[in-house]
Amino acid sequence: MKNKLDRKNGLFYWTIGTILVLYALIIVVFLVWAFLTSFKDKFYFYNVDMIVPAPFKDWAWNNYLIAWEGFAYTMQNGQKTNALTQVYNTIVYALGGAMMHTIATCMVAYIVAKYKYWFCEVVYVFVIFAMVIPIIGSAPATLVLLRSLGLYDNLAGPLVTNFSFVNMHFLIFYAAFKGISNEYTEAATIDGAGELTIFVRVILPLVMPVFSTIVLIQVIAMWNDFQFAFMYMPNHPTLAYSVLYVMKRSPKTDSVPLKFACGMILALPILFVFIIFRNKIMGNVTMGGVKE
Amino acid sequence: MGWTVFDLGVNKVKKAELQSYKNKRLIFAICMLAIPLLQVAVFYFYVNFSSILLAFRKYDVINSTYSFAEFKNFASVIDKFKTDLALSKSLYNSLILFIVMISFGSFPAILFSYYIYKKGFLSGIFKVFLYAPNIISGVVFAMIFSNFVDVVVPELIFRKTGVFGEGWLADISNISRIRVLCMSFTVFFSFGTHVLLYSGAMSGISDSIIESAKLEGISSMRELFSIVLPMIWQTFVTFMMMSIIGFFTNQMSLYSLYSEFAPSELYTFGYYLYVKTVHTTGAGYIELYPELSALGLLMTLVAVPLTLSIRKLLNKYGPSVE
Repeated sequence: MKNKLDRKNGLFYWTIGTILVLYALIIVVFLVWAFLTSFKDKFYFYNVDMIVPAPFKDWAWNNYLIAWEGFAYTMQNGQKTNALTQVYNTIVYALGGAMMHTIATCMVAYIVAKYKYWFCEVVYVFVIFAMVIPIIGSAPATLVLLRSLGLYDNLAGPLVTNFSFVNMHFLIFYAAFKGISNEYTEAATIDGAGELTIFVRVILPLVMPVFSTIVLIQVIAMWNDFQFAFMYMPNHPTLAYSVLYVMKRSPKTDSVPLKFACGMILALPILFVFIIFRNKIMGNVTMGGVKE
Repeated sequence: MGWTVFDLGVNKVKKAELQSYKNKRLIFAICMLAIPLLQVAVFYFYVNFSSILLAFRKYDVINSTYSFAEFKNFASVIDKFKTDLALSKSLYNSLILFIVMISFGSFPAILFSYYIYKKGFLSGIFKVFLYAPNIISGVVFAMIFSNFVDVVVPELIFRKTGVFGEGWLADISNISRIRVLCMSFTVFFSFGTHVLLYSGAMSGISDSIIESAKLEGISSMRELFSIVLPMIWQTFVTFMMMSIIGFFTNQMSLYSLYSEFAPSELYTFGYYLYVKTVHTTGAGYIELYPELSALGLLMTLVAVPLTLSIRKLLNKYGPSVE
């Protein structure tokens, strides 16, 4: 029997469906409008039409070049930054941070799930405790510590702070490792494999779908993050923070089409990644492992 | 028994091998945990401990040292609730936002996620659009939204009525309208996450339970409230706990819409904490951090019992899986 909605509940069915259609339409309309506006000439936008797209022959393709140059500005420390540097910062921040986050979580979850020591129980209880008990307002103390360790305002700081296993992905990895039969490790042990070899060559390939999905999700989240990036490294701006800067302050991108072009430079690469990996990203990463 | 000296020797070797194997496992486990635990020891335990200490300190700018400030930082924070417009409004705005998020975000999300879970018409496509706010940066959506309401809407009104007005987000003489816009924007773009996480939890429900319920002839609504909701109750409880934490941390999208220049009347606790932490320039941050730590500690002292109480109440009086 298919798990389908009972169409006898017509009112519920049509109300929810209609609202979801409106929701999807709003998102599509906003994004398409922004994309098409990013190709408008400034004069066309302010004097001809703000809503309807410009004819294709009048598209201002150089908006994206101007927007790219618009990412160049002077930072708090008086030094100049540009789009290329920001892309580099973003890649290091997003990819590096995501890898550190996932590696730390994977390592700890494996030990806690597969090794029966008392300290493993302690670590598990601590993770649950840390996720349940909210601690608010520790950012000032974190920044003081980063300054004293020399990790403030450089690319290493976020990599170190992201090497943490206290997050919900710990439970996902934990469940995934718990679901792996011990027969794999026993067989490998009999064959003479050491603990590290078992982890790297036997266990890790089995959880690679979960690992790669979590890395992907984290890369996307950190690519789009502008608040923590700015908090930890204000003079190493990422692309996302620079879009915010451009939106509010840049004289080079003072028109709406140019601002939208800046936004599209940030959004389009990650949109392509999502389109390619959408099944992986949107597949349910549940407590039982990865569901496709 | 017939044990020979040879047998006893073999047993000793086996015991030694077993002990060596156990030792190697222990060393491996410790090595794997060492660095992550060190990171947590520093960036969780030490940071939270020093945050608590910082709340009781005062920075002496002249001597560049910290001194014990007793409860002066807490008194200053409580006083600021009366004197600092941003902080006093934070309480009001955070409360309104919390109620709005629960009423228009978390609760309705259950109904929408049930539609997705039951594979309603076009649910696959809706999933993609519900996921879109997680894919595209909030700053891009904020840019599109703010330019629409600040540039396009006034222009359209002018062309229709001849009356030129300010942009809706820029016109700080109408704070109520801005508040509604910011809250609507926040609810709209966080909605998808709630729906997808609930539907993810629902997908973990065994099909056999649903099928046997269907055989009993129950309707979809009865199935939602009598079977699905109890089965995902823990997820719901988790969301409620996160909503309470959100009361103190939600910025109402102010930073992405205004950067650090939001009007004081719109501040929320989350926005106040972030802006004061990050945008206090020069050496001013060192003086301000003890007060911010005191404010954070006060919020934690409220949030922890509240979160645990809500969790206990919901678990006690919520629907039972049995």
